[in-house]
Amino acid sequence: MLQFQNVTKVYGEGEQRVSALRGIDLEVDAGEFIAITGPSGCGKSTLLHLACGLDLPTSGTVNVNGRKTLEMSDDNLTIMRRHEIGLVFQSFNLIPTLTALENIVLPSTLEGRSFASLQDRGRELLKQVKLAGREDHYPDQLSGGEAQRVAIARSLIMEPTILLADEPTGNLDSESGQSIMDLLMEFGNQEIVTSNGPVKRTTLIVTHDEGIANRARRRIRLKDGKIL
Amino acid sequence: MRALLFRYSLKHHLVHRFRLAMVVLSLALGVAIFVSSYESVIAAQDSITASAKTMVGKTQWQVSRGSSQAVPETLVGAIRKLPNAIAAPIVESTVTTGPPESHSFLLFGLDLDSDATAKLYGGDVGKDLGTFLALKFSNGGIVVSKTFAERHGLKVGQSIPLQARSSVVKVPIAAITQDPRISAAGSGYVGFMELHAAQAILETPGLVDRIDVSGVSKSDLATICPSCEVEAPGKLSSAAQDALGRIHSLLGVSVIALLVGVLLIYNSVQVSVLERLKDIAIIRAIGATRIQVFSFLLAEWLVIGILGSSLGLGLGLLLAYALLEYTKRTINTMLPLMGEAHVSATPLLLLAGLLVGVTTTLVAAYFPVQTASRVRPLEILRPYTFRRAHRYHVAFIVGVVLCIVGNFAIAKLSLSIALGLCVTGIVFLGVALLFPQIVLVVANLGRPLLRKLKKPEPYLALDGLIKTPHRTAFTMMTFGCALAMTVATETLVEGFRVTTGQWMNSAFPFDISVMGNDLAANVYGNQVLPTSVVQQVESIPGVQNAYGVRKLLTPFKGSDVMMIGFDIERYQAARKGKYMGDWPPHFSDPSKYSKFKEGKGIYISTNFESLYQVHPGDTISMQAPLTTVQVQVLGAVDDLSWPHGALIVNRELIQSAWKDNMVSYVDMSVKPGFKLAEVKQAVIAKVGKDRSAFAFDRQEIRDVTDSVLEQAVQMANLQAAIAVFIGLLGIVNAIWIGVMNRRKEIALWRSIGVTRQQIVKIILYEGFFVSVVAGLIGTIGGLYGGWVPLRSFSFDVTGYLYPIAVPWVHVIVVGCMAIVLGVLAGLLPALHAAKLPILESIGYE
Ligand SMILES: Nc1ncnc2c1ncn2[C@@H]1O[C@H](COP(=O)(O)OP(=O)(O)OP(=O)(O)O)[C@@H](O)[C@H]1O
Ligand SMILES: [Mg+2]
Repeated sequence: MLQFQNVTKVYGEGEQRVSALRGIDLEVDAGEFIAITGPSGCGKSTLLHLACGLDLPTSGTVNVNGRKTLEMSDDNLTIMRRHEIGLVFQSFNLIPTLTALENIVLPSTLEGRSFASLQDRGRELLKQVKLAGREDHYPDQLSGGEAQRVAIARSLIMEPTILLADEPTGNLDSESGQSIMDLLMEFGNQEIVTSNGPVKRTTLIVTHDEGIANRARRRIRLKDGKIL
Repeated sequence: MRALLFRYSLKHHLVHRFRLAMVVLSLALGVAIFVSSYESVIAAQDSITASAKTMVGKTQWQVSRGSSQAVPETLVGAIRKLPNAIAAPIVESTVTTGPPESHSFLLFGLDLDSDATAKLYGGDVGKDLGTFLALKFSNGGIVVSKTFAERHGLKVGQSIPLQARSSVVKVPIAAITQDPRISAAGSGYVGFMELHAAQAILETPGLVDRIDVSGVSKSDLATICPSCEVEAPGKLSSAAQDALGRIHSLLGVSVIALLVGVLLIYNSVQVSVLERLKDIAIIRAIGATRIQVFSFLLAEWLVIGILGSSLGLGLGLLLAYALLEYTKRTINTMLPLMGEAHVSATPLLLLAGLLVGVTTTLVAAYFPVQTASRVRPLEILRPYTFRRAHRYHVAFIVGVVLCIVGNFAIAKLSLSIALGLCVTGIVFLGVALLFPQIVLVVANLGRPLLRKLKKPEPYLALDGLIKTPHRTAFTMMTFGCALAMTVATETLVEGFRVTTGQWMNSAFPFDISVMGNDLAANVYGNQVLPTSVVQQVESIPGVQNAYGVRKLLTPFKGSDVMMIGFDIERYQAARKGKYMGDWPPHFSDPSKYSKFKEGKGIYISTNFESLYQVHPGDTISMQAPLTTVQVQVLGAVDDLSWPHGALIVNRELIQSAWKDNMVSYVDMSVKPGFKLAEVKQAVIAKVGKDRSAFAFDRQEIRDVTDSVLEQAVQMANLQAAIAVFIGLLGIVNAIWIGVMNRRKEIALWRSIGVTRQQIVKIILYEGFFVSVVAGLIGTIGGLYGGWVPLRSFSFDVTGYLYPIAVPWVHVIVVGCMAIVLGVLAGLLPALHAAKLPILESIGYE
């Protein structure tokens, strides 16, 4: 599913040079549910960004579903993100001028499908994240927890095989955090039908929260850009 | 994808509808200027060309000797001897109706003795042939167009006073033709007379202006008359070409207005894209490719471009009506060339307008959109705020290179007008690229100074502007260029005015000039006075010296040059009395003076020298109607009489070789102790007794020259005014955007104790700074623009190299106006900023 082989990532040059990752080897199989923890600045976000091709490693290889990200064009990386990866951010990153429903179906419309044809699917997702009836609300009319649930629904619309979440509960109180975690646990291991048959979704969650991390089946601890 | 992304765009622009409205409006105005000038130029051109084709019918060749010289009527007989030849002689001239009112009209003299006229023009005047037959029996009568008859309230049987060359003649109205095509020719005021009657009025017996021929080949005609020009019908006279050239220059101005529009649109696209960078990054992160982002953003601006252009087309057509009416008036005061001209919204015009508007938008949008689509999603999604370093070094270097290359091209290569405009555009672009860096540097220098002030507002205003150096720079450029347009035209006009003044002072040693046509109504009028008027005038008490001047056009190397003949001895006497200008300086040389007096030597104007590469010492030959005259060029003098060059000769040469004993005007000086106005009265009374005569003093002639000049630039000024307005929209737009983007910051200021009034002041200071710099750009750019492209173009076309005169008054007025307008432009955003709700704005992302 996901392989990191001796991956390093260096930001900046000269005096500003920062080694965010220093030799990561990691093998993630289909269906795993992993929590990544570690102190601030240890490279957790960097790891996720490399995993989805938003960023490329300085050395080593990152393999996503059998392809090396370093060898892919920007367009191919983009299309991979669209189809195979769901992204959830700490700060939700919804588009403020689009309604909840529009935000959710946005990735699918990039495929050339009309908004109308996607409405039902969007509503169903909204229901699954327990926001039925909030279709026409704008992001600023939603609470943080609700906005994050919309973001999760958006990450699921393309039925990705990989779900990546960077501190999805970081901006939320512990109660909403728990319910977001419940959702992620629920969808994180869903079975998806792909052209190669059914596959279990793989999920990586970056978190500071010990309680949340403990609910994951596998746990990766990072420190100073290395896996402990 | 498209559906939702469009919805996204639409929503974005609806949120910022004020800004959208301004972009659409400014684009619309730019397109409107373009469309209206284009349309009025085309319509004027069509109308003028149509006039030239009025009497064409089945004519294959028009035989003439240029537009300035007549053909002997005897040639008709020679042509008719050719097998199958049909030849009809035509007299065509502008004639003025006699006192009390003088109006010009186009007079045709037709040969009614042979059937050639009917055969050739049967199609043109066929319907009304009966009317024309009336001429045959009316004994010197005239057939006039319906428009003409209505204008003067004429009826058949009445008669109308016409200014013949040297007297007023009453001509009976033989018939009024209802043919609408005739009313469409020229200014609509057209008259027809029998050939010999027309010759009598014009005092050109035995001469015709052209012979229309069909049925024979061009080479046969050339053999019969080697000195003739044989052309297909429809060729414009040189005066008509001159008039057309003037209106063509309008198009140049409209291109500059569009360039101003490009910068404004660029600014708007830039902002609208920049503030959505985060959205764009999200869309990219969840799977939109670069091309998808690029195309939806560009499509968004395509739609806006279409919207603005369509609006502009509508506005432009309205404006075209006004401009066309205006063009018509301007041209018809010079020559009655333009008749009914129509603004017609042809598909081609609509398409051209749309294309220009949309291209402008897309060109302006391309770079910001391109940058946005290349944004790396990660950089924006990082939690810390993203701030790009302001570096414009590359732009600066490119700008310097463009400026140098552009200026080199203008200075060293002689470019065509179209190419010259392109190069000017390149220099403009170069300066636009230089500017962000300059703004940065200047602002950084200004900062410490402003910090020393006791008031914080100017400093904060500068800080606000500098946050987006290139938006600020472009806003300044936009407004500055619009201002430059007005300064540039004014610079040229001022230069022309000063030169004309100097020239008139040194060349014309007279107090009063009397002539046969009303200068105020018809600058190019060609009424003349008999030579006897000179003596008549001299006998008036109060007149000291008088001399006659004859001006006529004569062919030279394919164009029509002006020959100016002076009564040289009288002229010299007049100069001794009063005016001792240095024109023409070379008469101090006695051998040259005697050559000039004998008609063996002439002076040429400096523009003649550069147009035809003829120099003092050369011998040139000139075509008189019946002979060829060889003369030596004694010297070159500055003379602005004629854009195609002037020859200064002793009037006796015109009398002997050109067989012309008329004067165009008689100049005189007034004896000391006599009142100018009284002498003028006496002159009109005496000369005007049996003909129409108009007398003008120096000041009046200056005023006429100035008003002609003013009319010519008024259209350019109208367009510049619209461009200034677009520039102002740019300021409102940019400051508004600045306020919206700094909502949070403004709210913070407010929360720490900055009052509403102070906020208003800060924003107004922004408008002030922008307009001060724009004023500087306008002045410098305008002076430069007047200096380089305009002056060198006018040099290429006319051979005059006008000195540059800085129009100080205009510059100061424009500068003050710019600052006032600029501050006013800041008012709306300022009030908005002052009213921002503090708490909500602090939370604004
Ligand atoms: N674009 C960048 N330029 C320079 N340094 C960067 C950049 N991105 C990350 N870094 C540095 O790389 C290191 C790892 O960053 P990363 O964001 O992966 O940490 P993190 O584990 O996610 O921290 P946090 O828990 O605070 O989010 C940090 O020291 C950070 O400062
Ligand atoms: Mg992080």
